Amino acid sequence: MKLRSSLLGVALLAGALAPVAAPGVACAASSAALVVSTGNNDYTYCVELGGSSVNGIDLIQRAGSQHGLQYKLGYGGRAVCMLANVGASGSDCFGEHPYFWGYWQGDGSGGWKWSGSGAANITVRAGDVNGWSWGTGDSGSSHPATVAATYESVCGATPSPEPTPPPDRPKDRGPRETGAPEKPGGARPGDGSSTTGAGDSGGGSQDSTDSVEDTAEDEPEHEPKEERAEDSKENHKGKEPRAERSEVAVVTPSPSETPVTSANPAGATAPEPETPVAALVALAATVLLAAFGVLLNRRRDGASAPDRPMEQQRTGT
Amino acid sequence: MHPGAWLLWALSAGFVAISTTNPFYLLPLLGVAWVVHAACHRSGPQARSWRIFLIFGVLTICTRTALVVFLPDIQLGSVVEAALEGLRLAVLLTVFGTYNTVSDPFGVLRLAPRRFHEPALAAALALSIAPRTIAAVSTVREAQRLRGIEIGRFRSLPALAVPVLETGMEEAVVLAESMDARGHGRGRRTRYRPERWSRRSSTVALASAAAVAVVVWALLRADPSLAMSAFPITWPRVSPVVLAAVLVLSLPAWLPQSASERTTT
Repeated sequence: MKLRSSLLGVALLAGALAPVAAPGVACAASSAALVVSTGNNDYTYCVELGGSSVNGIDLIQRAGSQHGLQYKLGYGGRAVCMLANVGASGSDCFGEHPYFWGYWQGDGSGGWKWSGSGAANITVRAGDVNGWSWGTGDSGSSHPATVAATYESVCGATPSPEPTPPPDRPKDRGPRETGAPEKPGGARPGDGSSTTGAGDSGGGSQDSTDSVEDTAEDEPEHEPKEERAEDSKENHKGKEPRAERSEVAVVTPSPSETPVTSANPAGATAPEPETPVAALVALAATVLLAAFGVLLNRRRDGASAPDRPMEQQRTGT
Repeated sequence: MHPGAWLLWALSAGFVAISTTNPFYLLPLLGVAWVVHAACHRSGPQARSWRIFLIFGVLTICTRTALVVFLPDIQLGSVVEAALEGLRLAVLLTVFGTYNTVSDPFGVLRLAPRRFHEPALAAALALSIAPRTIAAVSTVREAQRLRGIEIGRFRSLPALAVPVLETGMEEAVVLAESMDARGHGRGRRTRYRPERWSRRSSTVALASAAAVAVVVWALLRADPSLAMSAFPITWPRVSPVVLAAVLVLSLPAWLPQSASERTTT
């Protein structure tokens, strides 16, 4: 029978979501740019991709083998714990939370787009720019952006540059607003000299190896947050206080500052005030729907109760 | 309601479920699946299959979470992530369960173009095997109870298995015969009682398309609220627009059904 052959096939419908990869600049060389901003220092690497398919994590590993970038991965190689000696080096990959390595993708013109998916799911193509920045904030508007860079600025002039020295950073930070347009321009006023965390013990220490201990010591104490709260109050009312991490170290710790608005230092609570409302609405809707469902079910069962289920089934089908 | 509209609804709800791990979207979607099932399910033994799908969904969450044990370093974040992925699968399963209780998968078969008739038949059979088996089990149990055979749940398994398998075979044969008799697979088909595309169907189809459009738009924008970040664990944002899109999918439950639909579908 013809029908029988059709039983062999099973059509399966599945909505597969292809992660949206940033379109790479058409480029002859098979290399991609990697930019790492620790807050103290910015490093740029022009990484040869080789023939095989490369994701965001592979890019870091290649930068490690080609240029000596120090890194540590966690969660089965899916998460970045430490880059350039900044970050969690212990067993807990997110031991420095709320500070973590944010992942960005270059938009081709020097700006940055906050990556919606993990680096392991992003395919890096020749001409792409990947950025990593150390800071707090779990979205592109609240996390400090990576220093502005394009593929040409990293790979074009010098094919395989050494880590760029820090002095070029202040002027680089200027055009950053292109990458994070939500952030007000005053977010990083003259923070070239300021260095997160490290500023406490001596703003001049630009050495990345120093910063590891410094950040590790300083961040758990929430001294910088008070500063940040102050600044955010001046700059823009209620707009995501964690947006300006690098101002933090402009000021030396001053305990007399009002710690009022450092109420959510963990970065875990949503910064937007309407978010809990929406979440509550979602939960309320769930409960309401469930209750309505029970009601409807009762009513229908009540209506059809007189029939025996068997009878009903006979007539129903 | 038209089976095509139900198929569209199920695909849209499944798409929404699969594109997010945010529990504040998934839980309302679960509620939507439940209320649509409660309001629109066809009467008969297959209505019970929804509960079975829900149970399987819960099992999925547990299994997915238990798999974390095999990761090199167990942390709260990976447990939460695994549980949310399990929840996503569970919601997908319940949406599928709802589709099976509200609509007859073979109804879609009639809509398939002749060229695709055989794959559509295979798909309909595959889609409906679980609910048909569940329905067969409850029918057989009912019959046993009517005859006064009341055995314990697990001891009665062999007594249950044989008639259930038999019912499945019989159903398949009857289906094939009836389809042959109606000219399926031979290039000509009868048009007996064609399904009407009512205004209700259009409304549901529009709502489903709108929900998919909103989610696609959120995906393209890389909306951070779609994926809940578990590394580190943060309180998920909720975008009111996407939440509205999820809730709009419950529309079939609120639209009044015509009396004929309630009895004949």
